[in-house]
Amino acid sequence: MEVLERTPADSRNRDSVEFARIVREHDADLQRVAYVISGDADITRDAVQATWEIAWRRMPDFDASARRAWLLTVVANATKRELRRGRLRRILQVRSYREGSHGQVDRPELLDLGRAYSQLASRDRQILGLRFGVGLTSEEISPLVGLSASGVRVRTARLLSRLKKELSDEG
Amino acid sequence: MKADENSDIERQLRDLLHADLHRSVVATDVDALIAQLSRHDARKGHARTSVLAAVGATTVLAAVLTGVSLNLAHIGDHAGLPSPSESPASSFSPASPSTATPSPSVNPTPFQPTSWRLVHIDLPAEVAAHQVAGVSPDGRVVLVVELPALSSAHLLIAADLRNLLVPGHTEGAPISAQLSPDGGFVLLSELGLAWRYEVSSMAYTQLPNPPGMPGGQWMIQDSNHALVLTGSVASHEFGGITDTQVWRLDLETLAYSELGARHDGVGLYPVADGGAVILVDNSSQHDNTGWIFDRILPDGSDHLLYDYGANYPPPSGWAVALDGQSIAFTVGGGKTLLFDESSGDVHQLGDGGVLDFSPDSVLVRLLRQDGMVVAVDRSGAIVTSLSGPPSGWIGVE
Repeated sequence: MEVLERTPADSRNRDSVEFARIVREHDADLQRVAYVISGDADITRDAVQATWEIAWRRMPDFDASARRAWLLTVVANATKRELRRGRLRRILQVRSYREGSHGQVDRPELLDLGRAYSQLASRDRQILGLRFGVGLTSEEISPLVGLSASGVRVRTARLLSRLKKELSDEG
Repeated sequence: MKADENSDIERQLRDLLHADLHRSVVATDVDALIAQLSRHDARKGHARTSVLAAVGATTVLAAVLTGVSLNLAHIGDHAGLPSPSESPASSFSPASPSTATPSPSVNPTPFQPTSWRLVHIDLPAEVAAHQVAGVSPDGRVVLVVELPALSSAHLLIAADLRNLLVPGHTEGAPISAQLSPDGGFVLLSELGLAWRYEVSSMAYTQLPNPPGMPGGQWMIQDSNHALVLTGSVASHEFGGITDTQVWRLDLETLAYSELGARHDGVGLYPVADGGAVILVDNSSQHDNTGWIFDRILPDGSDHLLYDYGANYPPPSGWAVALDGQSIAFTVGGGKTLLFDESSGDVHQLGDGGVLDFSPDSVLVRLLRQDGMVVAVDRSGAIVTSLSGPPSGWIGVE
């Protein structure tokens, strides 16, 4: 794998257009991954900013799929590092479906699901958030949560079963 | 469960989560980002203005060590210093590095400091924006890491600047890097893997993980041992109660012994006697509101060192001394307090965020809001005042 180590002089001539294309292609997913892990808008902003700074300096010369995996790993680690710095962590909650101060929900039929989801352990919420909120595959989630891809699949299936059962019991 | 039932709940989950994420994340302004990064590059391309602190007339010690000039200012009589303004500070100025320069032979020299000094370290332009992560006691070896995500680590040895890139390591991915107390090796870790980099031979050796464990949080304890906290880092980030273990690795034999175990360990700090301090987050939501520090002695026995969560809200910074008895933490308003187990006392050290203790646990390094870096003694008296980072602890024989 070739690593593009860029000097300041090189940077003045680099292809900003290509970098902008990469940012536009991946930024939304990086934002979502950071937010699912941190549940905090400020940490999300800082982690994604750090990720793009790293990418700007030395984005490995990957093919497109490897580049996505690299960026996901970097943003996940940057987010976790921000969390380890002692900042308050607020794991992703589905605020709009909780019984908030306004007592209003956008989709009443999702209220029970939102409540059941919020009661899951934070790690489980992250797995489901990455899978169904961000749309990552089990292989992409694997390095972000420290489980094997098959482990992610098994855990996801169990969580879906659990949510289904809880909704049935409530119904 | 039938597949279509799963599909229903998957669809509902997507609806639920998409809406929340859509509301919660803000896309990066690409043009502004690139403009900012370009400006940063342009600044880095300029010759760096030296921030080497002026060495005053009171300098009493100067040593030349393999191309590294080390000037230690005499900073006695600092107790009760009336002004925190820049003192005739200690400074440390490695020669300009060149990656083309052959690496000098580096072997740790026997060096038994009797005290420690905080010195300014003038970094070369290539790593000027990096943070000093460690300095050998004799000042010959400086480890710097790249912020904000520790995406690279370099060793600065006289005129030699080495990029530490372990085999198979993805350049740019965050890593952890620590310099051994004697400056003889660097411990690098990433994603559950760890390597030992020998400064003298420049060889990387992958270290084994604790038995049956996928890795963990690595800390150098002394020049012959490392500590590993397993099952904590990811677990803490993902919440839930988990069992965590503290392992001690003999770096000569690569044999592990288990030092202790806790629920919900989230931080590990080595103690010079062979034990450790473990930070445990007892709060039910892992929101950093239930911190306790436990001391684990070398024989595995343990006791509560300090119940931080019972007394203070989450800190913005903290450091645990190698004596295993002292904890400094920065609370609201940017003030740093010191807990001392021997007296049971908590008192204010001064303004500024805590960075670390000196290796002998006598001094504490603080970063003040005005950018000054100060070393204070345990009473809070300023011993050294520097114009700002980077800085490091140098031993004095």
